[in-house]
Amino acid sequence: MKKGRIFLLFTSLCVGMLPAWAQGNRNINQTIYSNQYSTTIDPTLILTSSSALTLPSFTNAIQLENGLESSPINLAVQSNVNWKLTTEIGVVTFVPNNDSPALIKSPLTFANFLFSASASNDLVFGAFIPFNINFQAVTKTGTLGNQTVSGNTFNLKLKITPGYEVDPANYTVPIILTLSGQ
Amino acid sequence: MTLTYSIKKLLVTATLAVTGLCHAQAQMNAGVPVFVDIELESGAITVPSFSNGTDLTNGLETSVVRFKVKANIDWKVDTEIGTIVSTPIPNGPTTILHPLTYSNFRFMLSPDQNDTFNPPVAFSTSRVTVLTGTKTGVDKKFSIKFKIIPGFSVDPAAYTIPIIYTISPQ
Repeated sequence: MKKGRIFLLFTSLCVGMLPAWAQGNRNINQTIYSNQYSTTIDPTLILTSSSALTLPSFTNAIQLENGLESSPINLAVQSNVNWKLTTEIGVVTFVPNNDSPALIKSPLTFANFLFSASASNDLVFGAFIPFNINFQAVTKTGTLGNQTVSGNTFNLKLKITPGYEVDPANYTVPIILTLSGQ
Repeated sequence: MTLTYSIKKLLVTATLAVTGLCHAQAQMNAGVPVFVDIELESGAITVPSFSNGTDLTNGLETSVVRFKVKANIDWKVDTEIGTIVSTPIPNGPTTILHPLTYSNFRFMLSPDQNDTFNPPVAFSTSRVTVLTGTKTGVDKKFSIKFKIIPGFSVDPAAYTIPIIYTISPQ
């Protein structure tokens, strides 16, 4: 009888072990490790030019009346926010020349300037827009992306129309281009 | 005596039969269990912040993490860029319309954990197999790091990025 009990106990142990092994198989055939990481992307705007903007000299009445255009400046924007380009006519300084009056009373000002920007990287310009109410104006807007995004590479040029009211002199005109987020 | 002998004989026969049954079932169902495990050895990942155009265009690399694989079957390690959570930051857009995604990530693997990394490989989907291996009887060590290239088409923001490593049989 004792041998019979031992036998039954042994049998129970054998049968009981098998489900335990099978359960282990289900749990150890895949392992996952994970973690969370953090980073910050700052607003970044970059304006580059591949050409210089030069202003012409005025030598005759037609030029004074009709104005003269600057050379176009080629600009490229890389920005991760929608952007705007502000063009500012800085403080114009002047030096009298041989044709100047003794006192320069009516110098060139931002009101004599107009601007035009091409829609894309070509030389197709729209109508000139005056700086008639402020020394600075938003001359172009665009969407985030690098310079290959449509409208992010373009040309800008200025037109100066002195007319007959501006005194003859040698003028130095700072032109400041500022790229910022919309 | 005869009866006792018969009972003994029956018990021995039954014991052998049950023992044999157990042995047979053990071979079919249990044997040596499949075992795969991936352990982080060192290198809590840190991700740099992007603060200029060069960072955005060329990308920045994370720190290196080192893993050890234990497996008694041919295995593969998948890496998944989980759901990235974005949080607006000052001077950035209040609504993130162009978030960081898995497509901005590359992984760089050092299969032998010797700091010689393979060229960056893009995540074609959010989860890719980065390494496979065969059972060799020894722990397999490897290193991985990531390169994040946001470019200028990702909104400025603070991003939280879950990266999930899964080892499983091939």
